[in-house]
Amino acid sequence: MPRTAEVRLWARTRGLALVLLLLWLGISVAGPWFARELNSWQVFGFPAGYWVAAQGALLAFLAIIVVCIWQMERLEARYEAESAAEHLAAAVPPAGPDAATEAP
Amino acid sequence: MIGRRYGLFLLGFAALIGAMALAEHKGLPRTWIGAVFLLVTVALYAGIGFLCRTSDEAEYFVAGRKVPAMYNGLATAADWMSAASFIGTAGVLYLQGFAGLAYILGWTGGYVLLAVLLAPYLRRFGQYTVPDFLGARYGGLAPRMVGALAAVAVSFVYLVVQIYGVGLIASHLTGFGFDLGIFVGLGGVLVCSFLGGMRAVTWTQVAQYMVLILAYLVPLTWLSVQQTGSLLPALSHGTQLMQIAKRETELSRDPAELDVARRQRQLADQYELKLRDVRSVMAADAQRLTRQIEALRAQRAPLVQVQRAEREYLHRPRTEAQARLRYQQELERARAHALPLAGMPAQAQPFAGGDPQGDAASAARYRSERNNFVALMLCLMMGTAAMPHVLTRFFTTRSAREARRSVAWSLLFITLLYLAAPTLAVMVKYEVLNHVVGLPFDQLPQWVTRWSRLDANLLSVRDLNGDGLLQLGELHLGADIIVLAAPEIGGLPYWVSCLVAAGGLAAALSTADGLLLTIANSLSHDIYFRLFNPGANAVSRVIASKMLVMVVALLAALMAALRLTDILQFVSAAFSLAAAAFFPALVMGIFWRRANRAGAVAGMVAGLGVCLAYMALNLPIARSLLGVTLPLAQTQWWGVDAIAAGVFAVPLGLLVLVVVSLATAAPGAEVRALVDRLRVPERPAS
Repeated sequence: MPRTAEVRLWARTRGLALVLLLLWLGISVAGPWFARELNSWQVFGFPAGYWVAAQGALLAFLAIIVVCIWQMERLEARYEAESAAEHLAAAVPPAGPDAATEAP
Repeated sequence: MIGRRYGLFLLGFAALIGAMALAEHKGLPRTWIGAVFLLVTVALYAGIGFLCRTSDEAEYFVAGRKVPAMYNGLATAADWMSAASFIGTAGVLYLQGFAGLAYILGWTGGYVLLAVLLAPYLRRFGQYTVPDFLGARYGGLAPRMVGALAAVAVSFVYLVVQIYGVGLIASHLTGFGFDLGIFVGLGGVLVCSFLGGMRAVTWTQVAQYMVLILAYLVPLTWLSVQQTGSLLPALSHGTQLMQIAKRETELSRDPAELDVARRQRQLADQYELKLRDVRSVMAADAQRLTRQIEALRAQRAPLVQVQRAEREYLHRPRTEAQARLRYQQELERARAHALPLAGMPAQAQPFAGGDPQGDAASAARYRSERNNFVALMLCLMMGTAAMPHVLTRFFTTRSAREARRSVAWSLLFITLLYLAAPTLAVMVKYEVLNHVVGLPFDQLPQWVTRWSRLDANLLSVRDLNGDGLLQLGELHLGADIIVLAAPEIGGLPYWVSCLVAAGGLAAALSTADGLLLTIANSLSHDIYFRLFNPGANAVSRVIASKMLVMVVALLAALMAALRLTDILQFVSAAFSLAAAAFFPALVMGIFWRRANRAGAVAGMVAGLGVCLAYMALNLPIARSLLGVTLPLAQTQWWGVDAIAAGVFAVPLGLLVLVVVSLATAAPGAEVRALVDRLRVPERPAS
């Protein structure tokens, strides 16, 4: 089946999305939820609970998006390689050069 | 090329600031400085709009799909940050402390949802609008129409507020009337959207972001240097927070403050009595005021006192409804000021209204505040990821990959401002608690007089205990002036105030531009042409959209001129509505092949319905309009406020979408092919 590269990409995308969303939900809900308890510690001269909600979580969101971009671009590059390989393997008539033109 | 142009723009703007600083030093009158800032910035935006004029369809609707990721990020940031973000957020943080951070978290966390779930896939789909996607993915007219109507409704409420903000700032900057201010600002908006559509709006927004971020960071850094000697406000934030905490403990034990609080409670009781018989109290008040003026004149009291009494007489309520509203406001203000620290919770204390270790009522208040914080934050996040005017911005990049990258740029630029907002709130509070509270009344700084004369709802002081000193409990500061007055509160020169106002104007105008375009495009592209004129060519589509831009802008300006003050309630509500209408249908459209038309329409309608019903039952303004008398305890679920209705509506809409989809036939092969196409990069496919 020529669709397998696509199926694999989508499975990995969904896995990545799930992990990133769990991180996002964890930080944004747990941070404020336990803010009162966290406030008994200090970070950078702030009460910790306040710092998480005012600065920490924002930086974490940014980091999650950067990881998302980095990983998705890696997955998509891998998909392109796999898909090109599948096309070569499945090249039915002798139209070989077709796959070679895809390299950027 | 683009970089050099914006570099020149920044240099020019810096030169303008420098020239104004010099002009103030040389003694140019204040109104001139304000007017120059207003007119030059609006002219610059209009100039960019004029240079980018176009009638080409792809240029008009999606800026030709060639905006680089970073510039789309800048434009999205300006599009996103509205007058409310710029002016309001720091004010809310000043007044509500930790509770205000729900907005900061909600308005940034939503971008994670955009990057992971939506932006790249919508870009890969192509086309021009969000309803386009709903229409193609689910087929038929209904999903597109529900989507277009929801987009118009949500964006229109938001647009009216922006234009209201434009009027407020323009009149503050120049002393023009509010209405004239609206129309000057509107001129700037219209030149962009009308002549050049998305293309002009994009490139103007990039410039507007630069103006607004400078306008926020310059006074903040200045205050930080002044207060702590540090050039990094984000770090001095912590030190000042600790200073405030100390001062808060002192003030909450101060005998004079406690005395003022007691007097505020008495005042509140008086207003409660007044509210029982508004009509006769009105007459009595008017009589009392005239007698007071006569007495003052007879005593040859200082002119200031006579004028103050006369102003009070002139501004007395004229109708019973006005009087009732006024007394109600006074009652609420007195009640708030009767609490410790004038009703402001300790800045760094989360959910300060209750105590988990306290008695049952106190622990319940703590839990309810915590639930509301999380609920509001989640609504704002899902709403952020579903606001049509933001989603359209991701149609303008070159590729899906660029769209994903531009989400990161957007959040980076947005985070700069949202890291600054709590910091500014803390610096202003430090200034007020340490340098304003305790001043003798006859030595109050000039900004106190100026703002209280402008509008007593924004600022008022009153020596309740007659000791001649200002107590915190005697000072009322409205949320809307914290940012605008921050430079004056910190004693910075007047040109900084003008810079801040110009930044607020940039924030309001850029958001208004994006919204206006979204509304006009939904009406023309998604409703008019699908329903009435499907065969129209590209040119007439663009012309129709331009005409609608004019009509919608005028309508919104008329609405804003009514000055509906309660409209702010609707803004937060707009996020819940956007989340309920779009979020499940968009995400499931991409991530669940089995979702079909019946499911999507049912889900959207159910989500919107739940949202609207919850608001009708719980939003104070809707309750009084509809005559809802059931106590809030019975109409609220888990004590969650009406503005966070989305936290129930989204899961419910999702559930309905899934159940109805499963109960009806699966979508056809065509739709499945479309979804498959969205999920993989376009290049190497067969």
